[in-house]
Amino acid sequence: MPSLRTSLALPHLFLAALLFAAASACASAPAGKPEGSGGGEKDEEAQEEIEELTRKLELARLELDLARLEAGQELDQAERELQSAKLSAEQARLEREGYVQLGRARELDEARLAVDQSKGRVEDAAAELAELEAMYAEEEFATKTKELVLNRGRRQLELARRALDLTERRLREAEGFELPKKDREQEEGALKAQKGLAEAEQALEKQRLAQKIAVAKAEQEVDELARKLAKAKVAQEKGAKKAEGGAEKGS
Amino acid sequence: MSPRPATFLALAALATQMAGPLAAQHLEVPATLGPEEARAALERSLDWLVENQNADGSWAVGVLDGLLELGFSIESFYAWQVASNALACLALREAPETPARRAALEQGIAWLEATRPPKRGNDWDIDYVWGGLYGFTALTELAADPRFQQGEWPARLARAAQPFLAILQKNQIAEGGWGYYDDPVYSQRPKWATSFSTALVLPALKAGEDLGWVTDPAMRARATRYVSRCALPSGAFAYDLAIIPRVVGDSVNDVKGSLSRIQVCHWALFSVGEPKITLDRLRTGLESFFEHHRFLDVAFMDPVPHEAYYQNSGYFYLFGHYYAARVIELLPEAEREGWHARLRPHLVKVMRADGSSTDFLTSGYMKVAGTALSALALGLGLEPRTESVEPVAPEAPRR
Repeated sequence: MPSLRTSLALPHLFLAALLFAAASACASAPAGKPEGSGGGEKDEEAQEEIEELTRKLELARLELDLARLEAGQELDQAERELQSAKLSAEQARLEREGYVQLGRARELDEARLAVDQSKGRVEDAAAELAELEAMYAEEEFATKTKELVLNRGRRQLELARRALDLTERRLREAEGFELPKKDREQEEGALKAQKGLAEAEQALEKQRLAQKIAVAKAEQEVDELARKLAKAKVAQEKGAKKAEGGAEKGS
Repeated sequence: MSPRPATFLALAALATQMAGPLAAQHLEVPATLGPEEARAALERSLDWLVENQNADGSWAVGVLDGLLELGFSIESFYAWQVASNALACLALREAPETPARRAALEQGIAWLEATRPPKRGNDWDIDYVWGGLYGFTALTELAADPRFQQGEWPARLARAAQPFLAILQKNQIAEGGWGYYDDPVYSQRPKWATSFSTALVLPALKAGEDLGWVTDPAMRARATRYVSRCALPSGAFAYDLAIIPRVVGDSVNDVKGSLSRIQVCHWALFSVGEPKITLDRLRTGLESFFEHHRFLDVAFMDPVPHEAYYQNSGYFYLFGHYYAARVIELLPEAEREGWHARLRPHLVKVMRADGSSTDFLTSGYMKVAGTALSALALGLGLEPRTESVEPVAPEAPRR
């Protein structure tokens, strides 16, 4: 992902490359070449070589700039991925520690509380039923009401007992399976995050090295072309001087 | 909105679990019952009241004494004890006097004088109003009794009435009624009332004015207007005052859901001189009561409020029978025995072997209130007491 800095630089670089290509095209036109001069074929070839090397050198310099920008961009990306991996690892560590230190005990306590609450509801339902039974035991008149209300009271007690059974089973499930499973999942999550962090660190180092090599190669190319260009220019100057000497002798 | 969800907090679990109407009750009773059978039943209920009075003069307990009423404020149980004690005193006042009953009555009055006034239970639960309603009612009726118009009694009764009157003054809603719950946003002066809780205290307010205890007649005028506005074209009285009362379907505002409210509202409005309530209206209300009585029977002893057809509750039963008896007493004397004879079987059939009665739960205060209402209803149709005994020395008030 390009950084803001490199994103802004790249279009400029592209524009510069276009302008250079246009300028090179103009420079390669035969307009500057003296018609019918005494340089001959050799001079012309030397001039063409210099011009070609000049173009290549300019391109190599642009590629060097590009390599440096790409290096910065890709290192930024790798660093961001490393930061993200660090955050993930920290989050996984916190989750794990929070669960081990507090969460596991809380979930267990919640399951135990549910059992106790269900026991309480069974006791309440039983007590309410007993109160209703005592109340209707004294009634001679409310026979139908008694039957309906007591049936509902008995049903509530039965439902409360079944709810208690369910909460007790849920507690056993939590103690025996769910909480150990969650424990392992938390541990695995923490390990995965650690692994991701190590990989991000290694990727950054690898990127640093790869970019260093890419930039160095581009620099080497620039140096090589600059050296060749200088050599060609020296050779051209020598040829020109030699031609001037021959002309003077012949005149 | 009636009846309201807040009413059922204590029984919410049961209410959700116990859906569906209940079947009718089946107990063979005669269509009418004469004064002698009624007197025997009355004696049993009065004996129960005397035998079950606490040593301090109170009845029942002021705390929760059953699982079926969990959820109300702690104070409400005390308020209901106060209200049921007031009813017990009323029942003993109306009873043919014996030394034991007279002593029990005076001890009961002394407890009402000495006990602290109930307080508001919490934001929504203002059941302490029941203490105010029946405490004040009992004291005005006691003040009308010649036995308590002598010596220090008038002053004692007047003093005892003040805390109960203060509860009424503090809790009369803007529309004039009294209720026993408040709605959000909760306020010091509540906003909800019912027709029946307002009606039951109307005659006592009038009596209070005559006694000089109530100095603001607007209080009764507002309350009277509240109850009057609850009257529906069908002859029913709405549970509570609403701009557009809910009357469709199986509504509590149907005549079949209003059987007991019709009696208390008729009695109250007639007693304070409301001209719309004529003798014919009283008779029509009583006829409805007997015609549709099965709906009260079905709800009897159902522990879930408003579960039965037309949202009848068990506790409508004895309340309604007591006020039906009071309505009968407003009719010309020649008519009364016929109506009482029809009413008595419905009281006797639900009376327990020990003389107690309850129609909803077996909480202590419910049994005291139920027994007192039953005794009051039975006693109203009988000859007045003939025996007179010397009053026992009243205990000094503890407050």
